[in-house]
Amino acid sequence: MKRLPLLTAVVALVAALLPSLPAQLLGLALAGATVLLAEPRSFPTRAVLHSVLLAATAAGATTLAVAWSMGPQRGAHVGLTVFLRLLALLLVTTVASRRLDADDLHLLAARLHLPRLGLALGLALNSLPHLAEAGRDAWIALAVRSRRRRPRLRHLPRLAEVLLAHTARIAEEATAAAALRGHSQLFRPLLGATPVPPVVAVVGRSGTGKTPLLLRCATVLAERGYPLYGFVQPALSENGQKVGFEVLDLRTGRRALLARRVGLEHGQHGTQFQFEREGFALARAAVEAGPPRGLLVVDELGPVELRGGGHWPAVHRALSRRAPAVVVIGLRRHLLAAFLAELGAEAVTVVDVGMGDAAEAAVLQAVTAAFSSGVELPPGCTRGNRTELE
Amino acid sequence: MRDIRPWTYAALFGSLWGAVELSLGTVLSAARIPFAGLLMAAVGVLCLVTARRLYPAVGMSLLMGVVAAFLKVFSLGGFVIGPMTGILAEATVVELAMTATGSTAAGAITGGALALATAPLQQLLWVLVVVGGEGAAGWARVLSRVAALFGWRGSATLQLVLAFTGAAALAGAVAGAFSWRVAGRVTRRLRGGT
Repeated sequence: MKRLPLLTAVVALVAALLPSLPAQLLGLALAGATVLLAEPRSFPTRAVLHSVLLAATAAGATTLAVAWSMGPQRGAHVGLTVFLRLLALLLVTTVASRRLDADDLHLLAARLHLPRLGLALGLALNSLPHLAEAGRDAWIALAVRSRRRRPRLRHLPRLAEVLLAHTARIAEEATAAAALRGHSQLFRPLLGATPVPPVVAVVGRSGTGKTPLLLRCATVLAERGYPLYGFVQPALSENGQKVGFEVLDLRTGRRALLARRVGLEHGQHGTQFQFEREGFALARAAVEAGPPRGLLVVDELGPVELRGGGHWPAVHRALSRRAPAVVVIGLRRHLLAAFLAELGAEAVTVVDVGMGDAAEAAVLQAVTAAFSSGVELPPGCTRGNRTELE
Repeated sequence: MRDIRPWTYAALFGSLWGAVELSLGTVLSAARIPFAGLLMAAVGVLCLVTARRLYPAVGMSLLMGVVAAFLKVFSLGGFVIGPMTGILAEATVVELAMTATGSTAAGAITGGALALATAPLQQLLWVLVVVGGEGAAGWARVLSRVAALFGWRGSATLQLVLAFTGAAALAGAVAGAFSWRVAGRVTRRLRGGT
């Protein structure tokens, strides 16, 4: 909306809500002026008629009710007030809903120094068609499964569940997309101006062997004399079930409990685990006690670190103070893009744990290559700058 | 909020809530279905609780409310201030409840109860704003007279409002518990990758 219609709309609303008949009349007049100013070429006749009808109905009902309980004179007075007030409100909100668009709100948010809010609103608008499509698909799928034209009422919770899960997946994709673009307004890299060394990212799903791979690589690299430090997080098992994690300091061999599984209901940070201070303290000591220009191993960084918690403060300090020559990180594949953007890393080698035996050789070669450039990587392993990888 | 995820989650779940308000809410409102406001409030609680259980960041429920209220601007029918304030009020009470309880099931139940209880109160507030104090008093007298015809003496309006608000709060607590359960199933579905 332009400035003059916006001004008349605001004054109309204020005047209409005042408890005086002349002010309410002025409010209605200004609301009419707002309609004419906002839409001078195409007068919204139908919308205005609809508003008049609605206001007249509400005013009529109120007149009758008040006249019955408090007398006809009072009824007429209150009915007129309701008519004037409601009509002014309806006209202003009708014009606002017709004239206001996403760009206006985006600009308004920017002017109010709330650019993130503007972007969130834009994202919400853009995702509406996707959500509508997902809703339609889920509806059809449920109908097909239940072999009926329409799903039954008892199927609605399942429909809600599918839609909500789908929405969460789109949110994750949007997060990754914003991170990949390094969206300056939605996203502030955690490290600021700290120079980031070459990164070797070992990726894979949870439980696919990232930690054993990193442990094997760390052993070989330490034997070869690399100035290695950092930590890995081996899983703790009981009767074949993963019951927690511990932290293993790669330089000293010390271990400490980091997390134990307590279930989704009692877990911390939205996980199934309860975390122990001792584990974080050992991890902190492990990454902060390394030699300058060394080889830092961090296993692993997860959603908690992405939110700036967990091991992140210690890793952040180590990167800025110890200035490692190379960083080897274990993380889940779907978090890769977000972490690369968080780190602001440019030289990145990604090794997928799914490469099997070749993965170990790939990590070793990537580390060697990072320390002394010019070594070729094996097939299946990607190396390049962040933009290329994305 | 420093992290990007609360913004994207709030945008997407707010968008879902807004989409339901725009489609189902408009249809229910146009068809003058009784208790449509309560039904839409329950849908809002489902979206709010699920998003909060998936990503328990403080302020996210409020942001979702802002997004859904923003989308309500594009609703058919024009008069959207009432529903918009209703959405914001609902998001605010769920935010308070979830923040106070650390995003637990108790927060979902309390938030649900408060959210649905605010729906009739918020409508009452709007009646008060539109018809004014005198008009509202007139309507209250009508209610008392009608109640007296059925042998219900005393402050019938207050009792009716309290009874309706209490029933709405009870329904809201059930909606909150149900939403927490659905949110758990959504979490498992996402973790399981299905």
